[in-house]
Amino acid sequence: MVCITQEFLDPLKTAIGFGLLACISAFIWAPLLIKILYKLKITRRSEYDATLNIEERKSKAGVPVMGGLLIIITVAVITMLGNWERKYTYVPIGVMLLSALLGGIDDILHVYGHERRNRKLSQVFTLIRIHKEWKMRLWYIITLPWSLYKRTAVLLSRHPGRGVHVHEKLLLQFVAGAITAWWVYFKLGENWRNISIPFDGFINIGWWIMPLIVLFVMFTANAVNVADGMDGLAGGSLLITFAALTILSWILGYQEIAILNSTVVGALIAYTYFNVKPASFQMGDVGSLGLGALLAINAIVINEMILLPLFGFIFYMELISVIIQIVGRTLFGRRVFKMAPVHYHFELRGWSEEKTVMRFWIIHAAVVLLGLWVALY
Amino acid sequence: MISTLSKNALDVINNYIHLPIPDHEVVCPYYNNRRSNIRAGLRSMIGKGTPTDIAEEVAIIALREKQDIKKMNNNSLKEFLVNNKLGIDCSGFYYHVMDAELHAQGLGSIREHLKFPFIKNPLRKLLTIFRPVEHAGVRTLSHEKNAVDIKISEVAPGDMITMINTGANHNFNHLLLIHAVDGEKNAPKTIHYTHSFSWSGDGPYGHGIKQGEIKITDLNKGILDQIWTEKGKTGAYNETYRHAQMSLEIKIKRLRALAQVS
Repeated sequence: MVCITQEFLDPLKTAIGFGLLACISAFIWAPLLIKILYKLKITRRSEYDATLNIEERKSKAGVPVMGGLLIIITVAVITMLGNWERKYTYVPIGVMLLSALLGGIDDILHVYGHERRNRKLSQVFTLIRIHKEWKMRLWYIITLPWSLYKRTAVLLSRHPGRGVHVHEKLLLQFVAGAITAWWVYFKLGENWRNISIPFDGFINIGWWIMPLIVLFVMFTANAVNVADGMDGLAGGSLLITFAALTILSWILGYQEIAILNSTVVGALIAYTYFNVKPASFQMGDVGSLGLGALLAINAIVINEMILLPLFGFIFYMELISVIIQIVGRTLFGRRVFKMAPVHYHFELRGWSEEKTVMRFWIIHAAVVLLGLWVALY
Repeated sequence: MISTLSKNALDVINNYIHLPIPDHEVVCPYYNNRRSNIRAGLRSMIGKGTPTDIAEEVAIIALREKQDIKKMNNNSLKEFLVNNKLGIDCSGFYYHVMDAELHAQGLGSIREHLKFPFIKNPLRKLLTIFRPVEHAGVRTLSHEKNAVDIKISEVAPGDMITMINTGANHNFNHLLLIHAVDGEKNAPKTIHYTHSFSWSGDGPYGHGIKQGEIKITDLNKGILDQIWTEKGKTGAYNETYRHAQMSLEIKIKRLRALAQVS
């Protein structure tokens, strides 16, 4: 018979306690947040969101966004008050807040900003040729690489609307990832540079940890962002992921991370309660980018970077479906999915929102379970 | 005796004539990307899509533009298609119908049989693997590497009537797909054709897939000396025939894949 010692159980008890605290706190101030969001008219608009024209989704116009603040603020405050530890929780909370800030700016610009557009490259070339001011012509020549980057980024999203444009978002996420990578490599210990290889052991990847952090933080944050399109989808899936990460970090002995993950789980329970269909609010970029970055960094802290695609399966699948759609469109001239990300494809095929969300949860839970199993070897 | 294309190929033609959009009867419009010159676009948006591609794109664009297809009548839906540059050009139409025909005959995809002799750039050549229909224009389809000349007496379903350098300025090419032939072997009486085209009298929204026939009056004469009828019009009133007359080169061609079988 396996005997679990009290010493081993104590961190779990603490973690669950923090989770409960986060859950209760979030439940208490959620109605206030909803009221504020309505008052500030931070709601979902249909001008730049074609999916709101799907018959079943029309009711989503006018629903508050930035509901992710509920999780971000609850987690940040509780962690800073009760689990503030330089080696383990500075970085995850810092990354989460940086990404959430970027997402928040995007959400606010969607409401209060004005429409901006990108010049096509051909227009830039024309300006280089015909602009009456030689200084401006020179300026357009000097900034040509930037124009090229901007147009390339448009491939990823053709309808930037009022918010932060894709090229700006990618650049800011890169900066956030780079700051994190620098902090991790130069300020924290050797442990952060290890990666667990399933069924094998650990390898120290040295400075390679820096580009990998940037890559995973950017990719995962955007993946969660992409998955946040249906009521309950991102919230429920994140709940499953962070619950698994809580168990894993507890078993692996990362007490602070277990507490942090459990706090997120608690806040997510309250969030998902309000977010299931018909949602009282939606996560918005503030929540999805923040939690996506937090997910990536938490997996990195416990050395399970390799298993991130399993722990964040549904998010990765959603982002990959967008990439496949772009490749299919530009290379083959065809849509692979009726609409990307893939949850819209199923909705357009006649699946109800509830059916899509629940099936995605179930698939996600199964893959996360697999990830948990692999991580223990 | 009438010989026709296979059922699969006829189904494709039928789907272009009645686009698979529920509760609507709409003929696929004519659209040629030459004027817009859209690069790297969806094939349904550059005149090269299948009927299904076009119907799906209609649904997606309607969603984006907050239009309710169910509330549109056939005319407004056709206008919607044209205004959103959805349609098919003559070679795209021929490509998809013949793809179905070759599949039905067990010859595989048309892509496997096509060569692209006008493409020299290696990168562009690579692109033909991914986007064959976009690169299969009239000149490519009728090139000697892809097709052989056919006498009028040998004409069969699947053959094409190609018009090179046609129009008032001899600046575009066109082709007709022969979908049925009436008559005995080596003695055709009537050629039935389908094509995607726009007559000047069609107005902005009347164009699209059309069908016509050519009555063979004398096998010893050329194709231009037979009686062409389309939309009940013959002679100079038949704009397709006028274009055939204006073309610098008009031929009946058969894909090599089919020529080898026959």
